[in-house]
Amino acid sequence: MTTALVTGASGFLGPRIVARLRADGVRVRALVRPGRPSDADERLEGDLRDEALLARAVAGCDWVIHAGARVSTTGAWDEFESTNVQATEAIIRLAVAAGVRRVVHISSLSVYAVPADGATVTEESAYDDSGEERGFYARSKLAADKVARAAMQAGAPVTIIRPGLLYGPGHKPPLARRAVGLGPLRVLFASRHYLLPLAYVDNVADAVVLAAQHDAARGRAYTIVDVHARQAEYARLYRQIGGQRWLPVYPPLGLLRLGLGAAERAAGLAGRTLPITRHQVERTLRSATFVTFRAQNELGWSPRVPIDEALRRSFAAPENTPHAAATEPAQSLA
Amino acid sequence: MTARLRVGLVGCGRIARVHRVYLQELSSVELIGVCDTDAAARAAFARETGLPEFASVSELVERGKPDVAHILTPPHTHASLAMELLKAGVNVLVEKPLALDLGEAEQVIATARRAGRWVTVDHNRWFDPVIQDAARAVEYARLGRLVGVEVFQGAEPGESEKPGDQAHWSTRLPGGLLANLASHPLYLMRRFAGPARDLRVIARRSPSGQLEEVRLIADGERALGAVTMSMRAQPFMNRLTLLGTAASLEVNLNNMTLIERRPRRLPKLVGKVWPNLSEAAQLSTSTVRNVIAFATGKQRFYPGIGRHLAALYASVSQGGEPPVSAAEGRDVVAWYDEILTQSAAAATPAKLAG
Repeated sequence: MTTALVTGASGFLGPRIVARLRADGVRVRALVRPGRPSDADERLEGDLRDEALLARAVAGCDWVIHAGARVSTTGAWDEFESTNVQATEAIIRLAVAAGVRRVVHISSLSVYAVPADGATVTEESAYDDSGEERGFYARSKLAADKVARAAMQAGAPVTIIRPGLLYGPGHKPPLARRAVGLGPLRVLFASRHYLLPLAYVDNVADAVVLAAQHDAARGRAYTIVDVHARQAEYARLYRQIGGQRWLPVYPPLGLLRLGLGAAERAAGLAGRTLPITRHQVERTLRSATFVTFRAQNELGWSPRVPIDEALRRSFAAPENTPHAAATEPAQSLA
Repeated sequence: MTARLRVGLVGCGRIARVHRVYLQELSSVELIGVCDTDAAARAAFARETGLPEFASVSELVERGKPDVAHILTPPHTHASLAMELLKAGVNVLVEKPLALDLGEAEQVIATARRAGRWVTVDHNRWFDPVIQDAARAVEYARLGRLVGVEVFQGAEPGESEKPGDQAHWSTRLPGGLLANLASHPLYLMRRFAGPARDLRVIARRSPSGQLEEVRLIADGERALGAVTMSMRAQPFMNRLTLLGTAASLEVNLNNMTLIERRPRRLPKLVGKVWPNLSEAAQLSTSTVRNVIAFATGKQRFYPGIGRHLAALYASVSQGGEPPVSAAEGRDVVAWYDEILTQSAAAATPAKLAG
């Protein structure tokens, strides 16, 4: 019988991976934050930064699914680095030493650079090394991806999964990269043609399990995106399935860019910085196609839950956290 | 910016001219030349395009040093040429079908794996704008749940009637002309209905043994599929119908139009009139749009080939995978094998009369 360790098993994606593994007859050991429940066969509590705990957790496992991370918009860099980067390095090292057959590291689409609007991005495309302008979470996920890739290149049995914008029951899907409610209006800071790379949580869990099962996935990275939802069409579907009544508004982006550029220069002259940089705005406005040919061809993956069903299930469930993934309670635990 | 990929064309027929036009527009591609065993055809193509010519595949490999070769020759040559190129370390795009039979297809795939190179098939119609619009309608669930996929594949008039050596090379393939056309409806069905768990075929053959009429039904993972292939029915049509629980779509691949049909609660009399007006309006709008697109050069013939090549090189020039997997190519070949097997004892008109 296959035994798998799942870290982050009390997070958002983790429990769905646990459920999917158990449905396949895999024995699951879950690493969770203290006091948090899990449906796994065995439950370990603690902090990802505790190497002794990690060593105990990986012992006797065939697979390690590393879905645990500090997901937050606040906190010091040290905390992100120790939980997201150093713990990834440690768990891969300990898993290899313990003879684990496969480590699946859950990364993020945010590691990729999007050089221009309309770009095609593959698993081998360049990393987004823009660095300082990015939040600690994105920076730490990029560093963790590099750690996992270095281990792969050194021959460790590692697979990297880079999912798109994750949503599902408990985490309502994002309406746009940036949206602001104004009474009966929703201002969507995107063009109507912007492509939102969405990934429904159970479709990602499918990919994770396929990646653990397939020999060909050893030493490979996979992008997982269900659908590149065209903003205008997606907003309509979102409103319809969510039973919502607001009207979408698409502001003139060219003017916004000019305005922000001018504001940045003015702030520069006054020796100040703006809370949001033009670089950040440009990055969110640039859409790309994140191809998933590799997952389809090598893992036989395709999104089993279609977008309408995924939205329906997400809207039907009570919300655990108010917004998308980046607002998970700031705890540096598994 | 990544280095440009050196691409060579093998075969100088009609489709090679289409590939050349689209390849020259891709910034990630450097077209290095053409090769064909027919010296006259090769010379004509080289004169027309100014591209260097090579007398053989081995010369193309040695002198041209291609990263990728497009095999645009008749299907019975696909597998051997693909394997020769793959063994020489060249990635390969093969015109459909990937190979003549399943055995060949698997050899090609195994060769690619051993060589660490990719092989893909030009399943171009999947990339046609009308088919992509239909695919998006399914993706965004505008049709509700997809329950049925029906594809009609016809043949241009006269193709099956020319005698002996004047006939198009495709009439000499196993099963005849249909062998060259069957890939299209089969991959379209696979894309929409999913891989088939069960496949049943009835067919009729001409007195000379060519497959003329084929009806195929498939139990796809996502929906039931039905393919009609007729080499005799006129006019020449290529259609795809998607049946969904909320709406249905009909795609005319020849005319590049798409009609969406949706249930509406209307009084009986209006209900007999309104759908026709709606269809007429949809056809008129898309026809006008197509005429404008052609007139302004935005739309061209074989648009699917252009879009497929753009998607392919956008991915592989960055170390990614081709959009059409070799497994899809293999499945299509396997299904054609199945058509031949299940129709081996198919009735010919003489048998029916007897």
